[in-house]
Amino acid sequence: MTSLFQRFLTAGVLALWGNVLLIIFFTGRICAYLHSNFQPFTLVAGCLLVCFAFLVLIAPATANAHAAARSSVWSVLTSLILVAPLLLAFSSTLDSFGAGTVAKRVYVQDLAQLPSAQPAAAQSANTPQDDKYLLPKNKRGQVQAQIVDFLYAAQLPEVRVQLENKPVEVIGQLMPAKTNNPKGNRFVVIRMMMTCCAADAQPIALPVEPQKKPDLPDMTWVKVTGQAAFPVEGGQRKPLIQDAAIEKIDAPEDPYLY
Amino acid sequence: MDGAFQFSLSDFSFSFLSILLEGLPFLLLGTMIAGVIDQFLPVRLMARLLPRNAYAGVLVSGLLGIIFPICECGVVPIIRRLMAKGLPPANAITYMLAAPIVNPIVAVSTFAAFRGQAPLEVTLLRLGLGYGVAVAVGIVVHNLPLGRVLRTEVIADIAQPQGLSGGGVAGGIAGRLWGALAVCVGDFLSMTVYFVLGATAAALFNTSVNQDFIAPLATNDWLATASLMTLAAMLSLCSTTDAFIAATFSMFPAVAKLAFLVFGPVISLKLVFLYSSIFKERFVFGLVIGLFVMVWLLCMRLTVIGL
Repeated sequence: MTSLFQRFLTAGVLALWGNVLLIIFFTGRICAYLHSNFQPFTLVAGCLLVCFAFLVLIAPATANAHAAARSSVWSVLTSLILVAPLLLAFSSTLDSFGAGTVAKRVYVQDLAQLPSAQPAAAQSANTPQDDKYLLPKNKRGQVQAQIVDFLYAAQLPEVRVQLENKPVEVIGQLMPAKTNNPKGNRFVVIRMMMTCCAADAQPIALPVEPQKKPDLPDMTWVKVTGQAAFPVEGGQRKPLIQDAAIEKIDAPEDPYLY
Repeated sequence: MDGAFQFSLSDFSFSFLSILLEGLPFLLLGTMIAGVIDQFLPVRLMARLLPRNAYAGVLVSGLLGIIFPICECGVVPIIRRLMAKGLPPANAITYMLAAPIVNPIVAVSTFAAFRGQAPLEVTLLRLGLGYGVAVAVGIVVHNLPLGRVLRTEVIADIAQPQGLSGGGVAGGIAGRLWGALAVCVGDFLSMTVYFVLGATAAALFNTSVNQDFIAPLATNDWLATASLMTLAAMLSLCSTTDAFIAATFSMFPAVAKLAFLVFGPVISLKLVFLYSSIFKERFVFGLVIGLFVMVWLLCMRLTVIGL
């Protein structure tokens, strides 16, 4: 009885974990959790765990002798620790962070704080003559930039020339400005930058001065159009979008920057 | 939103799952290797390959990560099996602490992450300090009685050096493969319990504590170093990618970032729980305090060379 119970309990826990991993992978939810470099490992681990669950069921009795030696109470207790938090998290997650958690993280508003994109590296990389640094324009002639482009432009004159005093368009999520908001009329648009997994994602923030204060909840996806400026504030040149119009949009397919 | 601590179940769940999804495949890999070691590695082979002198053995064990690179989640089940196969605990612990830092993947990722921030110096110092503290702990462990270091059941494994499941004594290749599966599954389940507890603690910190409160500490070298080490322990990042996070703490001095890179891979919330599956709680507590003080003081000494 104990041996059979242990065998089914072990197989059940492995199958549950494997299936959770596979569901997250095959439903595409994995993109919200992991950098693309790590995603295949989830698939492999999920498949292996499901295979192991099956093998545990058909294994000869001698192969399960060690598991059977554990007490049933202990096995049930550890299985609960393995299963309960996983199921609770799986059923309660919204696959993204809310405004409260994002606000608790340090906003990256300077190129030196940008993961894997330090100023010296940027200076030794592409020049405006390279295709990578030629920012595209939309049908209305507005420069379509990412928030990261503004951080580069604040430090690199050859990038700044493409944006400064020009009409621009950028998408991101609306959040209150935590700093550099002397008149109280600014907010920021943010994009989460993922290095490895969602737990390490950091908000990259761009300050915006709107035409009128947007009546939208925090973390709403918006398209911001306005004029790019790079004023010197506190001895540092900082990016800013002035006279901005705000339009609510659907979330992009991939919400992260990498 | 402005408070130091605020809990959101959905955000906690999101962070918790992302930590699990990132670390679990490596934990599984580690337990699979552990199963193979248990069934196929001849007893005492590792001990025979290492130098006979205990201290030389510890010195060599600290470099094994160069040949067998493994991250901090995967290395814990592996050293348990290696000890059951006759590898002295001092050597195993040295390998466990050094391998997540002294390995080629971490060297390359650290160098890449610190582009423009003295990458060669930071990489060499990270590997050097990681090796140094691992060897120092290994030497201390060599001089401690096993009963003060290892849990009773782990000592029992060592006492019967063929390992838990018979160590490939009986049966042909099929029997050994079934045995390897049993060890792998057993280790995976027992280690994952601790990993889940560690991921819970890390996700709680990750989503509930306001990180802006740490920023003012950056102005003082001592406080900055201690606070980034604490942050590294709380965030429980993988050693192969933590350098990309460390490099972004531009307001913090270089020694604080170095301390983050050396301390995080050896002590973190998830690791404290994983270590508790092998080591006595008192030893784990001593390891946390000892490594914190050692890394802190060593990194602070580096301020004299202008880092």
